[in-house]
Amino acid sequence: MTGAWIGPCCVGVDNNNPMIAGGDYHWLNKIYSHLVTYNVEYTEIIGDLAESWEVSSDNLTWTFKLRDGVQWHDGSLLTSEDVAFSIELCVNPLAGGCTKAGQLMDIVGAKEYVDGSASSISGLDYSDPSVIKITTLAPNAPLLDTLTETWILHKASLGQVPVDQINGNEYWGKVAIGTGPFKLQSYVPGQYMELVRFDNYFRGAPLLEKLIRRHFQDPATALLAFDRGEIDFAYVTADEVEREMANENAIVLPGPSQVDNAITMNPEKNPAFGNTLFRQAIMYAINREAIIENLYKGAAKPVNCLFGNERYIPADEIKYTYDPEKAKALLAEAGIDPASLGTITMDTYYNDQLSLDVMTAFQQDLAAIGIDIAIQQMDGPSWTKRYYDDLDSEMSFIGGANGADPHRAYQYYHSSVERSNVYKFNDPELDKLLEQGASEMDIAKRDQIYQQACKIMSEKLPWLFMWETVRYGIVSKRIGNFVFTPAAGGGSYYDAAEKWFIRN
Amino acid sequence: MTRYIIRRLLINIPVLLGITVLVFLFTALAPGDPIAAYIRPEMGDNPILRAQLTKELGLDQPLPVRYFRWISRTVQGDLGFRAVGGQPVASTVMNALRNSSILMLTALAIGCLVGIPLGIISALRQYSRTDFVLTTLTFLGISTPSFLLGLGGLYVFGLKLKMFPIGGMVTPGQPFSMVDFLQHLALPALILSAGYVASLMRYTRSSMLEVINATYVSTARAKGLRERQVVLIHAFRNALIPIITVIGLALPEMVGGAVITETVFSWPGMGSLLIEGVSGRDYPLVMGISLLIGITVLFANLLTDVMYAFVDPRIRYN
Repeated sequence: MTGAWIGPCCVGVDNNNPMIAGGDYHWLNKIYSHLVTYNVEYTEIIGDLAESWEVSSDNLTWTFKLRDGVQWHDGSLLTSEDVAFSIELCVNPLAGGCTKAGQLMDIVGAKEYVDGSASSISGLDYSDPSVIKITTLAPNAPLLDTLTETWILHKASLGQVPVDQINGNEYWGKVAIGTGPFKLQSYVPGQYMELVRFDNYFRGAPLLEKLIRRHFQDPATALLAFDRGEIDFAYVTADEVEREMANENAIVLPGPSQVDNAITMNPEKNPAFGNTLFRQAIMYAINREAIIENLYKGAAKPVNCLFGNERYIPADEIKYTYDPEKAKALLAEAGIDPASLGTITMDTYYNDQLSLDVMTAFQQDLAAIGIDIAIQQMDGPSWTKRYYDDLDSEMSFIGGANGADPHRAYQYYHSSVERSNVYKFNDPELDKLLEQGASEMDIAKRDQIYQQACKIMSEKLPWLFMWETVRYGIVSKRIGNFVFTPAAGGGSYYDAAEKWFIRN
Repeated sequence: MTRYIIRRLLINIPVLLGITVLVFLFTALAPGDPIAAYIRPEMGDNPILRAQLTKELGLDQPLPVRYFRWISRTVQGDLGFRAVGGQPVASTVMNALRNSSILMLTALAIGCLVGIPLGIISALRQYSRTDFVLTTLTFLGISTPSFLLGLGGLYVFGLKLKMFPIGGMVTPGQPFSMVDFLQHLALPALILSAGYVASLMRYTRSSMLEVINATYVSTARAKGLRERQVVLIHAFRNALIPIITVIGLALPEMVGGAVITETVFSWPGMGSLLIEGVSGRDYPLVMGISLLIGITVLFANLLTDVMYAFVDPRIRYN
């Protein structure tokens, strides 16, 4: 089966080091596994390499029982030492960085390991090769979510590579030993990677013989190759979906992107931006329904707080339906005269036409209530410098991951967080809820807590939440049992790749 | 002649050094945080890694020190490691260079083999219908954007007529086959050659027209030489100089690659690599590529000048 994972969607997409990969996870998941993963509906966390787990009564120590007889691609057996090695490598600054390093610092002894005062992480107990115990500094409910994206790597082979040479090492393109259903056969940089079935995969030998990922730089070319039958899977953008719906040989697979679009405002630039009534006014002024219907062609779902997952959305969240009159009334109530604001620049790192159209719609909607916006599209690094380093942005149109775990909100809105809480949003009630949510182990109670958090977010609007976009994949009808959902970065979910097969 | 070449080579050295200084200064002074390429924002802030990288890359040193570090490693062939992904710059660039060169040289060869004869024919039959048709086609060839030609070509010849595969250099998963490779090379090379055919045809045509009316050509005819000898040996050889200039100017393009065509056909070449480096703020990569382009332009110019001397004995360098 040949698929196209199109670059450059995410940095590192043609680099096969999973630790620093910002995306392409559903490909890397074919080679490497995790302790746990999500089900495809993203409603629960299920075991991957871990068969079962439990947490101690003080909620600090997690015990994961590893499945028996899991083999690495070279035939050796998985042990808890590999798990400990992988976690240590992820937090090790010399290894060049790892997306989950920040969250893994919550493990006891991680800080000492990182600053060099300890030679291993004390909170990891791998004395029993079939069990890994992880002790955290405080009760840590999102630990499971963190572990869904912590790659379990092979100590025997990767441990031979000097730590400071791991980044960009040819190990990732030549050796790449994992526990996933497929193993590396060949890799030609910039062109393709070929995997073949791993007969001793712990869920059973895959039905497919080969998986090939071809590197396309232009999504249009990938779609042409799909139409011709050269590849069996590709991403589709919203504007091509209509055309591909008519393709008899294809099935279009829509799904929530797990990325919200939002508008942020810098209160340093204008005190009005810090005024909650002003922010609410803007939410009412923007006609989200029309934008979604006409520009996204329906491929987006409005959100009024960070979360898109229904279980975290309370029935009484504020639904900002389009109401320009209410917007004007709120402006008056806030005592802000829009004309006095001058021209406000809204910057963004999105350079595509769709985003330009969307921001133009914002411009029009806000002009109708007297606010004048100038649009500025910038390239990624320049925008990052302006937004994060110089704190020079006034308003920005951004995209932010909204999951998979609701603890994501902590990084954005908790008052103690630097950098990702750029404008130092500080709401004591929200802070408390986010702290509670991080340590509440009972799932039902946790859902409740985050529903309350959602309500506050929709009132206080640390971001002006617009929508969660829908993304599409497309697969050829000749592939049976295919499972896919467009999670952010490719996500970590069980897609039963060992059951995919080619129909004759 | 040998003295001329040696002198040119010697002059190239300070010019090359100047290029390295400029390349280094531009990337060092560009706005943006150089560490940002190594530690992306979504990986959170990692002060230990940041400090370690700063020390390793020497980013806390003054500019001249950083320049000397870079240049001393470069002359030994060590172009460092990419900021994004960490692969060695030298091997990444060499791979891309090989891929780009194959594509561009093929396109240039087609351009010469098709464009030059067409230009000669067009000049000999000036104002005829053939001339008119060819000139119009040239005009179309130069005016159509490569993006349109590329996607259009893929759609027609790849999808509809199924004559060529869609994108890539080889069919993945199979052992290398020359036939397979040529099939993949054909369409992008043809699309790229359109531009070369067009410009070479134009230059050949106008250059030939200048020469064909010269007195020595009529003398050659008057002496009873066959028309083919007159055209090819006397006229064409003198018309060659502008043509060599065009070909010489095309040589640095081997190194720069053709960004749009490479993107459309997913041909992993220098053009798309440079764009990737610039948009990802991958400084080591950008410096490596810029340096390579600089060197190539210098030597391509030298080669072109030397060719002139061979073609036109009146040109003497001293």
